Amino acid sequence: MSQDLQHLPNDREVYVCGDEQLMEELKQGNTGALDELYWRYARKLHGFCANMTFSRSSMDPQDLVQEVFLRVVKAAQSFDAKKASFRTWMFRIARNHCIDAMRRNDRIRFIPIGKRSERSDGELNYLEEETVIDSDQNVERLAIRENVVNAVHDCISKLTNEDERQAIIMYYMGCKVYREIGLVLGKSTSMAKTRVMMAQEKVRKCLETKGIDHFPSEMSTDHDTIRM
Amino acid sequence: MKDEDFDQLMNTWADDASESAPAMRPSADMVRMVEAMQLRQPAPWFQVSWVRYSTAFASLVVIVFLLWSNLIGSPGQTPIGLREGVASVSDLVLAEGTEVRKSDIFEELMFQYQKENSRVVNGVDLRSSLPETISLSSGDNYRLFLETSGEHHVYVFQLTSSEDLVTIYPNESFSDTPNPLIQGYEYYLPDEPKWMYLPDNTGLESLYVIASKAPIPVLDGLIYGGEESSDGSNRESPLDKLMASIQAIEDGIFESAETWLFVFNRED
Repeated sequence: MSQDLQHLPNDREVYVCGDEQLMEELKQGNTGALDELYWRYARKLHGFCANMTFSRSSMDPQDLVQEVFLRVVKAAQSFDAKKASFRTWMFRIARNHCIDAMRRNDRIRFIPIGKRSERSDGELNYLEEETVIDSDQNVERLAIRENVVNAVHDCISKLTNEDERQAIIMYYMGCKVYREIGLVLGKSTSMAKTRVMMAQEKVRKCLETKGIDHFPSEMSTDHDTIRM
Repeated sequence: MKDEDFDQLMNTWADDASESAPAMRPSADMVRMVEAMQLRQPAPWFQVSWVRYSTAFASLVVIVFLLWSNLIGSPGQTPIGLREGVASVSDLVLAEGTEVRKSDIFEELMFQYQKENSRVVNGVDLRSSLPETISLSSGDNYRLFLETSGEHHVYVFQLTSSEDLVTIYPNESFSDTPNPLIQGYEYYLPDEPKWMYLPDNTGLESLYVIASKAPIPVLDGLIYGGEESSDGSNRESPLDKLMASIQAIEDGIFESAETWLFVFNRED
């Protein structure tokens, strides 16, 4: 077992080694390594899967994340750090799984993340976020932030080129290495870079048509919004 | 808009997508799987052989199970029709893709289609990406054109819009050519002068092309399993099994293998 453990004040044991070392630990049956990988990537994957699947109401990103990790665990013995980084390998599994999930999904619905919506049959959209507002919370700043998030999400969803859409999602969801994006998409590094840049330009123009042409100064504060 | 502002906006969106995620933990099944890995640790000198033997054994188990479960429907029940078409190769119009994904196995891998009452054959290189999805109607024909760089085993499945999984190749109803395909020969699926067409359902059709330098036992098991049992209770679907096989290939369990997916639309 790895000795690279540190204890944080909240008593969560933290591995201070890299992802690839964690995978080696996992292959040896170390469940702590699995917990650490979950801690590092589950939320990023949640955002990635939610955006990849256009937040289709019948696909729960939480389920997708669990399924992706299940595939990661099942294929752990085949992971080879010499061929690709763990992040590349995992995002490739996640991307393929999300594509398969969308393929099997009959209906296409767009529901912005963070919004609660009610279908005609009364079923509530599961994409509900609960926000805890502390005493210093700036309500206006929250509203501005929500507007920005929804606008970006809408602009990304309007990208018709699937490669561009996936590339920009991956770029901002923690994979800012063109070579890795290329490996996940099955494209060359230069093509991955091209896709990201073209997507950025289209999203930028889309945001400008929505009246968003700068980063709101109200959002540049030290206050934190606690989300549950 | 300044680059810095744009990046801040995008990072705000990305942070929100992650922050809005609920706290998640590995499932109990996942934890048990990892714990089981600890118990199964072999002596270091045996590990490489263990991977190979376990893969071969797992494949054998899957083949036996799939043969018993009669996975894929017989060719006679396929929702894909066959008819003769005009193979006017000299009038081939190749669609311009934006990227060619390199293949170590295929010299040519093309989806060809012929619109009703047209002598022109349109081609799409599966190794490139197109901005729009190809749409075909019931009067249109389609086929695959392949040329391999060596001796390779090829498998082609089509998942129809009605969720039927059909083996295109190897399948005697579509082609008399057995695996492996040989370098230097041009192969059409189905055999000339036949073309495929879709008489009924509308929606997205998916063609899965899988190729390998060695036979893939799991896929051979899928193909030669016979008719699917009418009792589908507690059975993993054929699609799930195919997806698992494709995932295994993409995860590197089968060396020197490639998977390709082409999606087109069947419209009225």
